[in-house]
Amino acid sequence: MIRGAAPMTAAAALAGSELRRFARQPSRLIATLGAPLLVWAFLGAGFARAVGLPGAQEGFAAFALPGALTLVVLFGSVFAAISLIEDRASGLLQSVLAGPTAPATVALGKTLGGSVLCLAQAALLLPLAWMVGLSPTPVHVLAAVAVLACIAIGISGLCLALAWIIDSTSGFHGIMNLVLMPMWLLSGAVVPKESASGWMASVVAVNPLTWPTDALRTLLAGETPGAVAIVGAAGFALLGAVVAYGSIGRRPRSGNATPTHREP
Amino acid sequence: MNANDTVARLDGVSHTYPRIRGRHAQPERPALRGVTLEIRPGETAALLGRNGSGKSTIIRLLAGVMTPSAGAVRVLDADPARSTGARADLGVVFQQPALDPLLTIRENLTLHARLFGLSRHDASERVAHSIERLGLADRLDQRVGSLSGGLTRRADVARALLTEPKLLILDEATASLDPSARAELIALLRGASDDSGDKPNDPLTIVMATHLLDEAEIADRVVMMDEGKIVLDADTDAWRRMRSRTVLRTRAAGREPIMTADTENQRASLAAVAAELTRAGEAFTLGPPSLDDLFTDSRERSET
Repeated sequence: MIRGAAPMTAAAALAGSELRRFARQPSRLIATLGAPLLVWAFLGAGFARAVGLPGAQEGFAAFALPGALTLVVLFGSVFAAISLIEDRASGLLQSVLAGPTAPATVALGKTLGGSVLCLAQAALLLPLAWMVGLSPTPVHVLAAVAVLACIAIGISGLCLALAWIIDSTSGFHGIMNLVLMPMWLLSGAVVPKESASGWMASVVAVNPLTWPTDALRTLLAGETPGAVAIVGAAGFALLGAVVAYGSIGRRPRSGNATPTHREP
Repeated sequence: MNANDTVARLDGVSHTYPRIRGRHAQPERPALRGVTLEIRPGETAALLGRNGSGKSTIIRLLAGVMTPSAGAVRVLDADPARSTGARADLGVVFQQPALDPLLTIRENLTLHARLFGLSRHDASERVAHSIERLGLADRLDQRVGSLSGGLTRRADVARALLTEPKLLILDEATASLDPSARAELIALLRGASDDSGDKPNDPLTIVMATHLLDEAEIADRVVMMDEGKIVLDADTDAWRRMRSRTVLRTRAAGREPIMTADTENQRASLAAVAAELTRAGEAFTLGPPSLDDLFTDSRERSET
């Protein structure tokens, strides 16, 4: 008798299909890695001698590398979230939810698939650390991968939760510009968080992406991050997972799972 | 399950789609108004109606992807929106094929089987069997995005039948297909229904929403809907009687089509009008009733 898959089995199957889809869209890899690399290269080359900001003593390219990695994760999560909107528009999501799979499992599978993709893409860029004069030990690199995983889960969760309530990819891009890019800019990704003053310093301090970025930067520099940064990284992952579960994990009353034009 | 059980039941179900603002703005609209319907084991029931009549809303409610504003929906004695067990016994084909265009037929079907809890080995066997049954064996490793509309729809039906559901729900499954692809799919559905005759204790029940009369022909029960209400619930014999009637149409302004019915008076009336038109040299046609004719007739009967 068929009774539906165990949640982890179903989530793994959904995550696996995300990876397959990704493998068949080379443009996704190019866009996800290309744009952050260009931003990083231009900022690194252009600002390398111009800035003498506190916390950026190693050179701007080294300083901005964690920001470039989080941007890779951000772009990867955006693509994963757009695939959710496309799944809904195509009716694929509706079909999954018409089976025994619970919405929470869909949230888990999508977050898992999106996170693995983001993490793998960001990890590809980790060797750049040695190219710009950083010298993390293997333990620091492993810890940096763990922090990247926290960032991937956090951003993927937030993006998927937003995608669940937004009807169109164009609307999602608007939200990305309004919410996600400012969140990245104000995380200490391109400007040291210590340089923010007044109300901006408060915004930077409560930005959930600030502390994981700080932890990543410290680890890539071969140092051990403080407790606040470590707790902040874990908390960001938890925040993303909870927000995704809270948004997707409910069976909609009249149709977030149904194609974009909700009324048949 | 015995013959007295119901596979699915709607009790006084009403549903109103809420007002939506923004890009896809639409006003609040009632879609179902107090619908009560029982689907019995082994029957093939067609929900026949024009666009906006409420049939797709019934499909979504039976599939458990949404809950009604009022009333109760039961599928295999459970609330399909809450019971994963009930949904595990469903096969659903929505208006849009639920297959990932980037994945092959095999990958799509295997994913579906895995979500239903089948082991890799069982999933592989079921995929092979289902594909063979629907004549798609030579397309198994082709990406769905490269298939024609007819083949995609066939693969989607294969997906829905993969887990041997007790209740197969189809929403306008053949609407986007050309006549030959539609005929093929209708034959496949008829075959799936007939095959389940081998399992008298667990027959396949089919509920299909359609606005096409030829698709409704495979049903042994036709439920006609209009403006969120059931206006006709006919078994095969009653439906065939309605379909076998003759309708007289003229081009004369103000003259409504006339349909024969079961009474001598109405048959005599049609013959008299035909004779009168012939004498007057006015053009007229005699033919089978259209969907609109059947709707008008059913609505008038339900109102009286």
